[in-house]
Amino acid sequence: MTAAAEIVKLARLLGEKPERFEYLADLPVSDLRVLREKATDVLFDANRAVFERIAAASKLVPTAVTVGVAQKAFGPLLCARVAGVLEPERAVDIAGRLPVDFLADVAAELDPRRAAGVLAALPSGPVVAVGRELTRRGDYVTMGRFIGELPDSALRATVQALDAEAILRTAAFSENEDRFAEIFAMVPDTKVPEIARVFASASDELAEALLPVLKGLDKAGLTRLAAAVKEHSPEQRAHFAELAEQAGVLAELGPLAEVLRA
Amino acid sequence: MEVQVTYEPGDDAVAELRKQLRGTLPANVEDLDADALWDLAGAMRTARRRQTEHLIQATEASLSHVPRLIRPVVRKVIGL
Repeated sequence: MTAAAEIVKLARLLGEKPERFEYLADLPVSDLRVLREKATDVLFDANRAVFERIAAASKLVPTAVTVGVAQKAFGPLLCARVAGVLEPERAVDIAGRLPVDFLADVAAELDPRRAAGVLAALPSGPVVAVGRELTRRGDYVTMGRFIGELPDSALRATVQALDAEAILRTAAFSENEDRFAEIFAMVPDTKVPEIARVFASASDELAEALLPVLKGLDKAGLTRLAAAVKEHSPEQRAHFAELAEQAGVLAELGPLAEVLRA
Repeated sequence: MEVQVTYEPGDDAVAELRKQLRGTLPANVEDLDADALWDLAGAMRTARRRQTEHLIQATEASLSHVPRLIRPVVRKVIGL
């Protein structure tokens, strides 16, 4: 993940435009993440008691009323905050009655660390539907924030539902770089050639974002991708190798590098 | 003996940012120039104020969606 992606996340959290925080562009990504996580904690804790009382009050009314209040009075931001203190079963019941576009709005505001219990209890169906909606919007920043917190079953269903470019862009925004090997192992065999094609034909802008993701692949993943790349023409392989070289990752690609250099 | 204290223009800004974020931050963040630190602290303060205002309006508005009969109980639980 890049500093620019972290700044986008911080700006969204604070309700500002990313350009305002240009002065953060040269800071290490790890420091920007600490800054954003502290800001998230402060904003959540600032009104925590009220969020807890709202969660308690939601038990007094029928779920249908809560669903109406969530959409008409609270909106996505406050729903995301309250979700962090709701009992997971209650949150899942409410989420199941909300439209997908509203859930996608809530996801954009949600702190996945605080909603881990809810994410673990959500069936794969709504997770995949929200993943598709966020992909349609091109909101890979939000998608990437959830990678580290989604349970395996929901992550697998989402990976299988997304196209190759969406999987890779999501991985590029992931806050858990170590999980790409696991994600790639979930990609069905039929989709691996598509992944290889996205890498091989990437524009400079796309390559800059996506190529670093390859560093997270384990030997099994690199071997699997290498087998698909082997089917490419020499010119395509040369282009892929050039992009990997420019991104400074070629030397770390083991079996894939061998195929690219052949 | 007189103690020599060196005044750095960014010190106040660092203190304000620490206050807004409830603690120290990575050295690279605290080493930003004073204008950037004031701006970050201001953005944080505004976000908190905006969230609280939004919360007050939303909780008041939420009552109109709750059946009249149980509004007093809900009002009490929320603390309105």
